[in-house]
Amino acid sequence: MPSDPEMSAAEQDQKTQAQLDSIALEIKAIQPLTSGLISIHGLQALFDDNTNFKKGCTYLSQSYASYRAIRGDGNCYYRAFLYCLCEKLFAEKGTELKRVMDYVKGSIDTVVQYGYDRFAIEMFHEEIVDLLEAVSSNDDFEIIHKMLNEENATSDYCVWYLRVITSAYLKADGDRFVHFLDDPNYFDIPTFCSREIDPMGREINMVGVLALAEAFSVKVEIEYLDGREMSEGKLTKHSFGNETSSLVFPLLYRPGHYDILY
Amino acid sequence: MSTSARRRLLRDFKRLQNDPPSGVTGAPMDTNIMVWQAVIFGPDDTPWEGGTFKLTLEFTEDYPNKAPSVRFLTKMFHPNIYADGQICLDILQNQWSPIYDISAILTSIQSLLCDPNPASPANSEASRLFNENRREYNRRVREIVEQSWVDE
Repeated sequence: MPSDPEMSAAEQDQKTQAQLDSIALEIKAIQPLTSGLISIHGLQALFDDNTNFKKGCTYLSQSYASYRAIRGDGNCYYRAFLYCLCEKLFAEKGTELKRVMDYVKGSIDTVVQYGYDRFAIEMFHEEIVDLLEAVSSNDDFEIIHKMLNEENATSDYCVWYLRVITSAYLKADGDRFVHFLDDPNYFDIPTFCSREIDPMGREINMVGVLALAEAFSVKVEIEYLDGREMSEGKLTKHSFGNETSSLVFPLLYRPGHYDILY
Repeated sequence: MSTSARRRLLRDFKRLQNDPPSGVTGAPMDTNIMVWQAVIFGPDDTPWEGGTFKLTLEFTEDYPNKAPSVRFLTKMFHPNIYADGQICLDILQNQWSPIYDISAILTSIQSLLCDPNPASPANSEASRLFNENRREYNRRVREIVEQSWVDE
């Protein structure tokens, strides 16, 4: 019944979904979850001359040597955070590793208080505990890098667990975080979490960045390559979380995306 | 090949058996754990009461990071169910989260039966009758319920 409006709505819906799926497949085929190190000069080539972006790259090349590209699938912030967490803890292997391990192990008891079903999240929790144990017991970070690049496995599972931690942290202090909601569609933290934090593939926003950094008590430092006018030849840089933490995660923001800086 | 999807499906299955939610059942096919058959029973004290509605759920290796594809095999008449049995439900599309296991998916679909979402009509006639002529809507639903017994 080609004239039936309901069929055309159905077809439209399926067509849109098919398009989204094919874009996702293409991204998956060409972008690793977390790349190797890329020279910071490589960024320059991505932008046109005489733009604020290009100028921002010049600044970056004076302050950083390289960056690690994270797959652009809407999970990039969480994935970058996870990678940094492993990398920094691997280098440290001391009291911070123990502190984070204890925090992560105990976190499942906290998150179930905020409406997560223990059964549904247990497997993800085990995955991130296993990952941190691998960080602790391995002498070669290449093994961890490989684990974090396996499709449909460790990285995705832990990314989702980081989403749960972010949600639970926001809900635990909803009265404070509600003032940070900059999206006019949301008036309360639980709705915001169920629509923007819990689903896979949803990009993080400022309040999520803040919550995750605080939850782990680490310092996330973000350089904003966002095309805005620079001041004193520098990009805008903000830090989130525990200012005095020895675990510092330097990230690069471009509109809609995060990578890691070195 | 990744086995995390299969591991999770086995857990889902165990949970459905040990802690079965009321009004829904489901099990993987004998030959393929990635394809499940499920039945949702129409909730009591609603026009859907007594109906037995069959569905298939197809999982990919991306599960539970990606939602399964879920479709009614029984003919349905509902504002959010397409003519081919596909379901317009946010948690199966852009609101999917790995927090939903098979029990949660099936119980969400069950509650959608009595509580349609007028914002996303998939069947315009059902949608119109639901809003404008509830009596006729309920009669059409009863027809579907009776038909569901014949479809066995």
